[in-house]
Amino acid sequence: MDNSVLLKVNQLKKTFIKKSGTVFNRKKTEVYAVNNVNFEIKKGEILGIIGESGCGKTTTARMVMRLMEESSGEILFEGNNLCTIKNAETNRLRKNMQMIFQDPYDTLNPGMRIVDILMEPLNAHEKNLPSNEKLKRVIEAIESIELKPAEDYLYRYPHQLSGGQRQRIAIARAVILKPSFIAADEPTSMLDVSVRAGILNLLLDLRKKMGLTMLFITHDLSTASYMCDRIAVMYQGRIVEIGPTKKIIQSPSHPYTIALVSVVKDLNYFIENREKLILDGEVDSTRKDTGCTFVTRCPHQEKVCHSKAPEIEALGNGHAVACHCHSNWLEKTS
Amino acid sequence: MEKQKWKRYWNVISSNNLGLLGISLLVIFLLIALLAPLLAPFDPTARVGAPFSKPNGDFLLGTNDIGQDILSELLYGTRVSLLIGILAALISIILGCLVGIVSGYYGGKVDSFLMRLVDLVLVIPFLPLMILLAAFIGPSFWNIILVISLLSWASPARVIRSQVLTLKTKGYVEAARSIGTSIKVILFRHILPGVIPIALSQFVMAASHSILIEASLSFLGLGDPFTKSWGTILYYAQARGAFLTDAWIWWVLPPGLLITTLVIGFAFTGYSLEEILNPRLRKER
Repeated sequence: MDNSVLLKVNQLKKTFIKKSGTVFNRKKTEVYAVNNVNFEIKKGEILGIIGESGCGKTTTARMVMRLMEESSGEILFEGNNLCTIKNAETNRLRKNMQMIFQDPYDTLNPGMRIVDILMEPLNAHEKNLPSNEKLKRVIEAIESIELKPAEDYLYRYPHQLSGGQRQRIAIARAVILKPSFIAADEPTSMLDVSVRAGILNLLLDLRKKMGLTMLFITHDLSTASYMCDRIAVMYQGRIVEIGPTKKIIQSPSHPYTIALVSVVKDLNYFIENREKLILDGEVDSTRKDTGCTFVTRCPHQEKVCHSKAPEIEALGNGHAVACHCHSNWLEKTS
Repeated sequence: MEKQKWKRYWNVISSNNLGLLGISLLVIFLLIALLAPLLAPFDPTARVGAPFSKPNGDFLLGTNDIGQDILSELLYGTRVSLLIGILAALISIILGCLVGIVSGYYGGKVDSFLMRLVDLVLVIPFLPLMILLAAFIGPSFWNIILVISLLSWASPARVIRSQVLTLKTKGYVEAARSIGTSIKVILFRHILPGVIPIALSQFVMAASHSILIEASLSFLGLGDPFTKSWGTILYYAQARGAFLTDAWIWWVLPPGLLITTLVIGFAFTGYSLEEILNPRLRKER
């Protein structure tokens, strides 16, 4: 494996079984939450995954963090296949991979003080550190997330902090072990707009200082374009387009991405082309695995889209898209 | 640090009238139980007066059918009732916590099995079985405790399981897993503290329940006839016809009132303990 790649995900798949019918006539339908996802993250890079609710972005992150078992596929982290190693080994590796969760009101135990919350990772991975050394690490971590003076926060309970401060504490908990990889699952979506920028800048800052690699999950294209080096667009469990942020924003090639980008980019363009851009139709994740998943809502569909699933296809410069006919209609529209 | 913590707990309790009342009641009963030999004017097993005396200067609550002082009986009875209540409740809560936490956290087949067991215990007609068991294994102090706790762990187990199920999906439990915290630590630091307020309120209910059950078993004559609990006093009062004469005022009413007061004391204490263990219930001051 390439040395510069920290995390590589191969053919990752997660299916849930949906039961229906009576006792005698039980039907089991497979629902694809994540379907053949491939991506890799280089050291020091931020890869963004964007997509609508239920498209599988959080499921992907949870599988990478081993909070959920995959159905098939492999996840390589620093050369270790996380899907096959034992639990004890996984726990050891968790020292290098940490997660920031979406809801700062839920992710900190309301009965624990900030100092106990931040001690938890140290107690799990650096048991032998003397307690004054641990306290020093905790204070350092609080200072690194720009809550000063740190001593003021040590003995508070989470309910005495604001949403932004809580999220900062959650970030401190993730970075206190100095991990090499962080998965951030929509870290700003539950926060007021006014504190979002602060949190995003803090993450960028930490990345610069600590050389962090990040998997950044969001449903907000503007957040993603601000944070990420590369963006993967997910739709119904598949990555439909992946590439450098600039490429995705400036020359999106998948009809879904175009719809997303146009809303943010240019309101005038969006209003003029409403019919072409507004996505109709239903999202049905139980449908059979023939044809393109986007076909029910795609404005440019052709015959082949109904019968064959598109493979992801490289366009050069690290940009790739999964669409049968992107070349045809791109010419038409431009 | 520790001292501060206890001071804060005391502040929470003392700012809550009900809690203060509950704790005072329990403390009073505890003192009565501990100091019974000093407080009681007579030995409760000795025949000290004429049978069926009305209350008078010597015997504040009169005497029973064989001339024992009822007040002394009541004071000593506190010991038995309190001890049986607390011990039986403690055993059933520990059992319930264990079953509830294991069942809730591990889920799957373990959960199904344990919950069917709980269902089994819950659907058994409570009082008849209790009477049967008490009659079968014979009346003694420990047997009563055994019977009560054997039949009352199931509903706390169910309540605690449901609490564990909601705690398990909390973000901080998931965060602890993603940090790499071991299951043992997760259960002790994240699940157990969330369960304790509920376990406490269940303990309070179980304790008052146990006291009531002990009283009813003894009242039916299935308690240990040689230990003097409030239930046995009621049993003898009933057997000697005190319910039909004026004697109910000093022979039946006092033990009944004591049982009620003790149960109320437990309930009020439970509320304020809940407030300590769940910071979000605290009022801002």
